[in-house]
Amino acid sequence: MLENIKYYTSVALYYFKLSLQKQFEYPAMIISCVFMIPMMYGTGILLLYFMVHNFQPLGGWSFPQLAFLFGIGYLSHGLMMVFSVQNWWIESYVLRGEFDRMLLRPISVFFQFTVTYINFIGLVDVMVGLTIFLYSCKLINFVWSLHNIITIALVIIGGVLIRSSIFTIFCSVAFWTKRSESLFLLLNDMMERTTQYPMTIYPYFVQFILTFIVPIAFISFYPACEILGKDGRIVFPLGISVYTPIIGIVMFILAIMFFNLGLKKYESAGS
Amino acid sequence: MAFLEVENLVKEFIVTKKKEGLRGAVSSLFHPEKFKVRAVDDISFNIEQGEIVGFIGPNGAGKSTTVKMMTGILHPTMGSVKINGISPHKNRKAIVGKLGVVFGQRTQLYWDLRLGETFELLKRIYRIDDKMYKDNIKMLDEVLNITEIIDTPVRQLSLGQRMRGDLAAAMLHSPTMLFLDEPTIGLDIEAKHSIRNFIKQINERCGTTVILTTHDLGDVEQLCKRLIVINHGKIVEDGPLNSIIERMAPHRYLVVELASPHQNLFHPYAEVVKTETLRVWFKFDKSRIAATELISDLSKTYPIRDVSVKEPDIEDMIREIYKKPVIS
Amino acid sequence: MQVEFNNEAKGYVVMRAYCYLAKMKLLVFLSYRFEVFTSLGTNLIVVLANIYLWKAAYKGIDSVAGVRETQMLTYTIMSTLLASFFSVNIEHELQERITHGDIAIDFFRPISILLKYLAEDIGIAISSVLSKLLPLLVIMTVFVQPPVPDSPMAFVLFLLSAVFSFLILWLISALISLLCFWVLQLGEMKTVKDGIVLLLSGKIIPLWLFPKKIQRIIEFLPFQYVYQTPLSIYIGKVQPEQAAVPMLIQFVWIFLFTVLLSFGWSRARKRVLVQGG
Repeated sequence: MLENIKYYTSVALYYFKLSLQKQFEYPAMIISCVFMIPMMYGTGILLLYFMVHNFQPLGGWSFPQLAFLFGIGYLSHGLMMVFSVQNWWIESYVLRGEFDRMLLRPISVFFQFTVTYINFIGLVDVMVGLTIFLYSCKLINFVWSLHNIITIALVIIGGVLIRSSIFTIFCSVAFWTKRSESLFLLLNDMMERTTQYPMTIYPYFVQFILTFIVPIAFISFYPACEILGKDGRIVFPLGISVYTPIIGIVMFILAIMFFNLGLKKYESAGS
Repeated sequence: MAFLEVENLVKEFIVTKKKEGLRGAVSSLFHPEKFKVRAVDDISFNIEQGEIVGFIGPNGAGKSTTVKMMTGILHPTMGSVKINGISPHKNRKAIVGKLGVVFGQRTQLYWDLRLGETFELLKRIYRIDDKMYKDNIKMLDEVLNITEIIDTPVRQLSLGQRMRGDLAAAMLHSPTMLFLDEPTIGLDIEAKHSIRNFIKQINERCGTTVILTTHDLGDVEQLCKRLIVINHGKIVEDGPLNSIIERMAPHRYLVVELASPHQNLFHPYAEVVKTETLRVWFKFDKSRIAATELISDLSKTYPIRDVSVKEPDIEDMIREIYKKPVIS
Repeated sequence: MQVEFNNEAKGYVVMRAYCYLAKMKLLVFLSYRFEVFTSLGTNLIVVLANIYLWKAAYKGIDSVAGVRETQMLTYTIMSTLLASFFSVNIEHELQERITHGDIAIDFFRPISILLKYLAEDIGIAISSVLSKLLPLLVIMTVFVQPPVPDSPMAFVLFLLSAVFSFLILWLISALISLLCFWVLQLGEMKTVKDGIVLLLSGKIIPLWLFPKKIQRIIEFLPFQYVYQTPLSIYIGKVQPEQAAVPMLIQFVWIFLFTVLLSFGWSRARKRVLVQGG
């Protein structure tokens, strides 16, 4: 057992090292993202600020609360971009026969797929998210108790798992249809719009779907509701935040299963 | 038990037919027309450890599909593949660590980094210990001159060097079986020569079984003691190269150089296939008449200054094989 | 023997040619339907999210800065429609050709390559009216509200202003692509420009919500004249009588950028012909 963990860790670490080296070959990309990403998300938060400032709290959420929601959602987005951006490329891997190469190696294909690319540019997203989050914590006078820190950590991890799983499941469709790249962008936009703003501004059926069918609302909305003490329109027993990591793990297992199902289809249909 | 056993292997694909024109495009949206294609149609063969086997066949014959099934990347529709008793697509991880695969047109090397980086990665993935790694690098250096290029970024390597890199990468974990898919494609003579040399050497030194798909008949001539010809998804020929040549092209050529021009040379057991002013090409069946006999017969009748005997062209032979109708 | 085409026959031939072109376009559309639908979906999601945000903002409030809720919703819908119309290809094309060195040939062509790109981009813009703008418009009208202009005059002025905006945006993109001649590894300059446009053009955040001091500064930049100007005319925040000034400024920016572009282009040309690509 220990042998296995050492094995997988050493392989993963080496893949990370190669990813890093590969990305530093193209510095222009990094530089432009360092400028572009903060601007994009800065616009988002600025819009919220101007709206609240000129109008009123949105759906009953004051700006500090909105910023908190935004920040906590954006942190899991950033980490997702670091670790699972390769879901975007499943389509191109299928078409180029990359999975053939992975199938020829004596190690789980899903594992190879997960560690083959660590997107260091995603760290820009993480930095921006962290800044917004910490700033909002100051605004709402967040109490940094041990309980709260653990809650936040679990919510973030759960959020990352939920996000990655959704992308993996939808983009794995490429194993059947050979198309899924543009789906990634669509999903990304959808997830952004529904984790940056309170669910309560959307119609009820939207919240219903995003709670019980595709559990996006658990990424940031419900945890923020619980921490900030706001009414989430749909109420759950127990503390809501505890659901996020659990759902995250369940979703991740579903994603692996679906991915492997797609791989089987790929193995019988060829490329 | 043979090392690699392929039994009644069948692969069917479902292909959607795209119809023509606007009406066709719309109807394909709702009622796509599908039909089955048998890319591999009931083939069987065995390969023993240590053999070098050539797989040839026209494009679309089913070669790569067969190879993919042998390596476990593709699931057969029917039939079985067993390597050392284990089915590669059922027990992927058990088998794959002992196989080496090189695709001629796609590389497994990291494009932007030094060749050595890919080797280090493979060392970890295949759990190659330090000693084996060192020994293998040394051996690969002797056979492929690998240390010359190990520090160069892969994108700066020439095609021949990149192929050497891919071969080394495939051999790093000491596989017992090597699958090479068009390894000499696009290479110059020098490079082809060193690749063929490499294959011969690792087969001799390490006993590696080599399965080689190729369109290059030089590869076939120099490397393959055994040849499997696939056409329309079926095996058309399977056997030692020499006996196939004997059977398919049992003739030889005799080139006769005359002392003075002569017209209408004739011999009952030989056919004139080409004439120039002072030279005549004869084609004869070596089972009907020996070369020496033919030469002595002709020299009795005609003023012959010089002769040479030529073996049949493998290319002609292969073309003949491809033309043969495939019996279902 | 002389064969004479009468006008009817000519017309028939031309008609067939256009029908064939249209059929081709449709075939291509059908084969790329997946991408088209997902891009439509993306636009829809973005605009709907903004609509709900504004509804939440305006709940119980009548108007802010003289703008009522229906006007703001119209603004948001029209902003997305404009964005789908403003797709520009020149930056990709030009950057590609510069990095691959093909650009040298272009300098020898009789027709200015810039005009060719402009024509292409206008073509793309017009075709995206059909493929992107119309479907969005229909969906928005049915599910949210029809984006009615403030007055017929406002609509006419809006159209003119939108054309100016297109040109300004196109010129900015062309100028940025020009930088490729000097800075080869431009990376994703386009996205940085997009980011700035996003923030300062009124595309997402109407500029009248910014603090007064910042508004002053933004007025000196060209970005506000890309989205804010046509959109404010459309919803009536800027009445037709007041529209002359911002539209004139649009025109000034077009003039400025054109001069800059031709200057930069001839400099680039000299550089290429001297250095050899």
